[in-house]
Amino acid sequence: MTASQRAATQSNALWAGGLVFLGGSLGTALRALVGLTLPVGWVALPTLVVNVVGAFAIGVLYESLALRDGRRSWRLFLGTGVLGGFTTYSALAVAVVTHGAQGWTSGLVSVIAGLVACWIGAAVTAAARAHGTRKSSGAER
Amino acid sequence: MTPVLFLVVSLAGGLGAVARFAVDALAARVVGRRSRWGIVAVNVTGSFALGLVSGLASRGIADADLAAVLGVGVLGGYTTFSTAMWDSVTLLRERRWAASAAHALGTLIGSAAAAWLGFALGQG
Repeated sequence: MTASQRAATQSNALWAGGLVFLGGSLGTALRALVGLTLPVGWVALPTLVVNVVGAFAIGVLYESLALRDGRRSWRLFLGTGVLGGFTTYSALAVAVVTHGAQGWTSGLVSVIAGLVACWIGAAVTAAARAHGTRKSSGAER
Repeated sequence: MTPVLFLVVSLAGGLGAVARFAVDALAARVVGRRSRWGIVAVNVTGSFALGLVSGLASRGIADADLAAVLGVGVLGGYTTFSTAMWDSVTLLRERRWAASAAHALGTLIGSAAAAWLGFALGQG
């Protein structure tokens, strides 16, 4: 690796880390706001809400970035950063083990709801893209 | 929560996210580019650490502000639910049903076990 290649790799890593840091801070701020706003209610309810919303959002995001160029920066900022920071697994895991049977119920509900939400987000985005492609190819004819 | 604490918690979450990014990149280098193990490792280790912080806080060893910076901030930002779900859904869409179920349930059980261990150690 030449000195200029090494410098380019380092500035790339710095750019990527900066995007993840900024996005992660924003995502954490949003999660903290939800935590301050929503009542804890049933076992760690705010955690369940941010996680399911975030799972839906990442389905939409990653599916919509799947076929686009120049997507790495958006993926890092919005995916790894904002949504990665917004959602959390550690609070879920601690809630599971500190609430007995209700904790395990909330853990399973989180995972099942998260899977469904993420799948719907991705499926809706893929369907919208297929619809858009059909329309634009129809217009060309 | 004071505005200053809120800001510190948020920036701590940014640091946690960068740590997750680094662990994931390291795992990709060691196990392969499409590996899901990096995020699994992040969630299990982060859950252990939050269990430990919660256990210590329950004994009054970590004060509430510090627990918020470490728990809501660093470890909340470090661990992630959305990418874990995306990885399971990717396996589902590839019709790898058993791998998807193993990934989703394995992450939940592994993280819960790690949190339990951390909590028990923290409670002393």
